Amino acid sequence: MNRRKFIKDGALGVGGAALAGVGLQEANVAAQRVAKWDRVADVVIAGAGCSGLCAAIVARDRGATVLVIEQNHDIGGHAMVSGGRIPLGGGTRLQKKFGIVDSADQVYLDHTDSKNLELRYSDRDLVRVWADENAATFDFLLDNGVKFDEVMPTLVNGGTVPRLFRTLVFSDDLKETINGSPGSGLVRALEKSARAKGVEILLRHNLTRIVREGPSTGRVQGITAMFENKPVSIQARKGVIIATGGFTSNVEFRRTFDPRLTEEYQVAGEPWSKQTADGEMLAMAIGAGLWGTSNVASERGRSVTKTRHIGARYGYENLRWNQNSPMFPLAGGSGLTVRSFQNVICVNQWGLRFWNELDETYGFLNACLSRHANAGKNGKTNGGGPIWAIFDADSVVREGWDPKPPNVDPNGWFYSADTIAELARKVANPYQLQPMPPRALEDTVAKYNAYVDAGKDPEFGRPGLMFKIQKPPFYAAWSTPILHDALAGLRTNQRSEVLDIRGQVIPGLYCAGESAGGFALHGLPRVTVFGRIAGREAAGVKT
Amino acid sequence: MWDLASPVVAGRRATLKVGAACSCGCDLTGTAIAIHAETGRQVGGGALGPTPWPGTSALYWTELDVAAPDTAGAYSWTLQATPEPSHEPVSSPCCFIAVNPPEHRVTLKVVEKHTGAPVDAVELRLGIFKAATNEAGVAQVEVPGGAYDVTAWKIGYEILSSTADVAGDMSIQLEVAAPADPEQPYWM
Repeated sequence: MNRRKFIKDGALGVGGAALAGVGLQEANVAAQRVAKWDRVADVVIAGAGCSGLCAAIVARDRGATVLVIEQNHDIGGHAMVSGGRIPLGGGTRLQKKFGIVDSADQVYLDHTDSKNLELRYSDRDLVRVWADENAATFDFLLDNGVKFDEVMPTLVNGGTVPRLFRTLVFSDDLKETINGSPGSGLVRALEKSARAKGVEILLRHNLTRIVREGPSTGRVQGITAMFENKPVSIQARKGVIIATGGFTSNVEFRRTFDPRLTEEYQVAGEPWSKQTADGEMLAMAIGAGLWGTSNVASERGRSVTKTRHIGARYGYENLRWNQNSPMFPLAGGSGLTVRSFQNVICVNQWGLRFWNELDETYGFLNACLSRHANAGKNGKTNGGGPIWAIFDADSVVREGWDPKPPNVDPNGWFYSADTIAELARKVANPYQLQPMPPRALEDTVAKYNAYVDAGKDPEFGRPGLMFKIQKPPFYAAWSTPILHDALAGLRTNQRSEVLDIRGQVIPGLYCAGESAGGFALHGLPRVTVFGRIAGREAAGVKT
Repeated sequence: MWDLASPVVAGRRATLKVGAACSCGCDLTGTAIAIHAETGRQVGGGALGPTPWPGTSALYWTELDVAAPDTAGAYSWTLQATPEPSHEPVSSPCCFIAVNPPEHRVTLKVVEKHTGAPVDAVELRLGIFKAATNEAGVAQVEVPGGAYDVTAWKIGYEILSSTADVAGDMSIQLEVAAPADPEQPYWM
């Protein structure tokens, strides 16, 4: 075979293979096209939490037909069980009522101050548009029936102007409010307004795909979802808004940002609302980029938090499960609220203390997450495993606890015993890699008690040692750090349009709320504003 | 072991409670308890009573009266329980600090920093000596002369740390304050 023939045949071979590849790709693309849509709306929103409801109302106000799907059996997401704290400013109607002078420029300056460590890594484009939309968003909430506790607002978030108002609990009915939290007043009012305006909300629909013209090109055309094991396709004539609430519940996705966040770390808001990363993953599957990922590990916000209600699975400090909540059977226990960690010691799954328990900073949390005592060999290396608060009968009296169900969950999250050794033997939990050595816990407690006698903790420098752990019975309560804010997510611009990894707009795709990255501000003030923006932009010109 | 006054006063007597439990929940009534000093000499003993300690299912207990060591220092005695032949004897350390007899009385008064109101139930430490304020915000503690770190703690207040030189009976006033709101309260 001569060289020319080889090259020609080779080229044909390569070209032939390439053509075959293109054909295969085209076949795949064709297979993913939706031949016939089950439903159609101008704007389709995935997620009926706070940002999704805000987006829905605004889109509807602009004349768009709006259809919202929601994974859960009810609306509201995390906002339902939140404290309803909405520090929006810039000159809202309520600020003016209290004679407070504010401006969008001051909101922007407060949230971009270099001394504000939590917000240091935020995208200033997003902060600027957020500041500009603060007042209008707060007034939008008022106009849509949200009731606030009208008392003088307070300073928060390093702000220089009082901006914090809190919503009122929606009702006394826990079937409506889920846990009696003020956030119910926000989302139930938004739901009422949305439905009254003609927004359709489909519950128990799990987002399964974002449909785009090409695998990573072209316009977003709609979504597919699963309802009762049946697929549903919904065309979006104008746009799809991702408002799916973030990723913290998805172990693999959250470890993208911090490999230490393994399965033992529970998530605030569960078991009511899970942050499953659906929106993020499905958007990334069609080319979407992530943004502001440094915020997750900035050690300033609420991505990892110290458990405050020990002895139950979900002990996030601002969400104590009411035993009469319809979610309580899944929550398992309310938890014992720790007023002072002076009354306990914290040990890892090997029964060893590892840090000053009074430390409320990321110093303590990092120590919890640091490592397993296996030198990185022969087993789990990432994450720090369960953390247990150990205390005695005197601690119970000082804290005013009642260490029995429903305050504690004895199904793997709380134990009591007559002796320290017996307590160690009883600790059994899905995340304990092995039994806690009784002698190790005995030695830990004995050593700690000796430190109390001496008035000094030479190991961890815990100040003001006061109380020994000595009076039976003894207790071990789940006290493992609990996760909350996502603080990172899809890349968006000032119009809440999602951008791909090259920084190009993905036509027809928007994102708001916890699933949007780039601005590390905690919670409701951020998600309400960007929900409004996304709804407005997706709906386009008012019709 | 619990309810041993800490520190104990050298040369005086001290009481403590000792308990033992079998992991099978066996009745340990009558089990012999002995306390041995570091030298091995038995310094106290008794027998477990018939009623489990309140809140426990099978922790049998007794209260013992022992002579504290004659000299000040840190001690690690050994508690030994010798049940009937079906159970193995068990032992456990009994660590404590003995101090010289107190010479002086220190009266501590704790008030709220901004209002001056007395604060009750404040836990106090002078070195290794402990006390708690009464309804009038006052506590008294008897200590040997010397320099002491002073700590005051109560739920809802910042830990207060100070020092005191005790050379005679004296009074100290301490001011405690509630912590300021966190600079950036992020709850929701």
